[in-house]
Amino acid sequence: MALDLVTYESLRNVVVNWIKSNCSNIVNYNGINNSVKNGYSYRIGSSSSGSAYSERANGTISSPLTSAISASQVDTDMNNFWALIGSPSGNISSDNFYKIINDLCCFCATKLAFITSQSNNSNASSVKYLIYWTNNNNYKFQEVISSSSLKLHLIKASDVNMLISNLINMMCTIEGTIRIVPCKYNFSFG
Amino acid sequence: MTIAVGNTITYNDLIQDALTKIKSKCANIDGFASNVPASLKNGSTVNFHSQSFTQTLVPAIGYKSVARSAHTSYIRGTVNDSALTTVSSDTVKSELENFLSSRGVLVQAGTLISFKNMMTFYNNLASFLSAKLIYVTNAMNSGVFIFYNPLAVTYPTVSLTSDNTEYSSEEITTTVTDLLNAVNNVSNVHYASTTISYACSSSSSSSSSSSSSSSSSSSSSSSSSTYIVYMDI
Repeated sequence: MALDLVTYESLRNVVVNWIKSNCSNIVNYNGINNSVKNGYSYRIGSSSSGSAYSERANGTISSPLTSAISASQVDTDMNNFWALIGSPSGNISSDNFYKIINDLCCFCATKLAFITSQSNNSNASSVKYLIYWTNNNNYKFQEVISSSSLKLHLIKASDVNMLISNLINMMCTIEGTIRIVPCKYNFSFG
Repeated sequence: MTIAVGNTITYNDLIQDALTKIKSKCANIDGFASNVPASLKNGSTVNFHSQSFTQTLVPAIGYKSVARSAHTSYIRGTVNDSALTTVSSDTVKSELENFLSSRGVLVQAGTLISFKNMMTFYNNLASFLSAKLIYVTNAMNSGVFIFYNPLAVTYPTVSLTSDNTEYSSEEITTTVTDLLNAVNNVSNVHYASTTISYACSSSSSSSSSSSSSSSSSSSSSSSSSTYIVYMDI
């Protein structure tokens, strides 16, 4: 295997750079539709009888999306996460390869989230974005990596079990519904 | 799936494990899960919010005050989304096998899997899942559910296809990027397509407010107590 050509830092950089260039609240916060931002409000409908009376139905969004995130915040968060998993450095051993993939998926599953809403009554007005959720630090399945226990082969059943477990964690990254950021309309009549 | 000493892993093991996991996670295979709300089912009409109003006198500028009849107002949603239907487990099995076959994986179903091919398998599986598994939700506090989307037919490509056992630095970068693209594919999020409307239902007991109720939107539903009021977005 040629895994010894790859370092932990190189994989980390792939992930950090990908995040910086793909999360909407880092790349272009102002370009995000207002309907997923906290406080957005619109008129659903109204009734009236000439000028006699009027009733208005409104929807107002509550959302954690309140401001732009700087790219340097990703570096800060990744530094903190890196310390949490043992600050691995140097070449990656084959048994640690799936661990670092697992850990990077764990970081993404925690810090990257989807947000969605609709801006008016119409079916066609729904929007969705991938956002960076810096305030979420609830990591679910990180593993500490020991760089010193360098093994170059998967030779034991326990190694394979570990590998399968990590792969399932990666699948859970895809399946996890926790990544939908709550974005909710509060309806009222006025 | 657990592996004991002396066991081996074949593609069949991984495929069966994937099928079992898909069926256990999706809320619309062989029927809707009991906790899926009507607001996430195609064809449903749901009241998101309602409020009852008693009869009131409303002052009108330049006019006499008028009586507003007792009524209940509603904010409703009608779900019009053909992806929010049920699918059979046989369909899921068939579609996964057809997909893997198209990627050259299923033909190796009985063979042992190598370290690198396992990664390739999971990248292809991630590609399948990123298209077929959708997070269904809306902004009306309906929760989030994983549905199997029978309508999805376009899958992300997987760059790593070589079946030799060597792994280059460039290939690992490609693998990680493939995973990132699949795992963070925003198209996995499926907003339940919902038409929102505002409606009033006049109370039958409000006979004293006949003058006001007849002047409001009587033309739309003279034979019904419910009418849809115009939208002014």
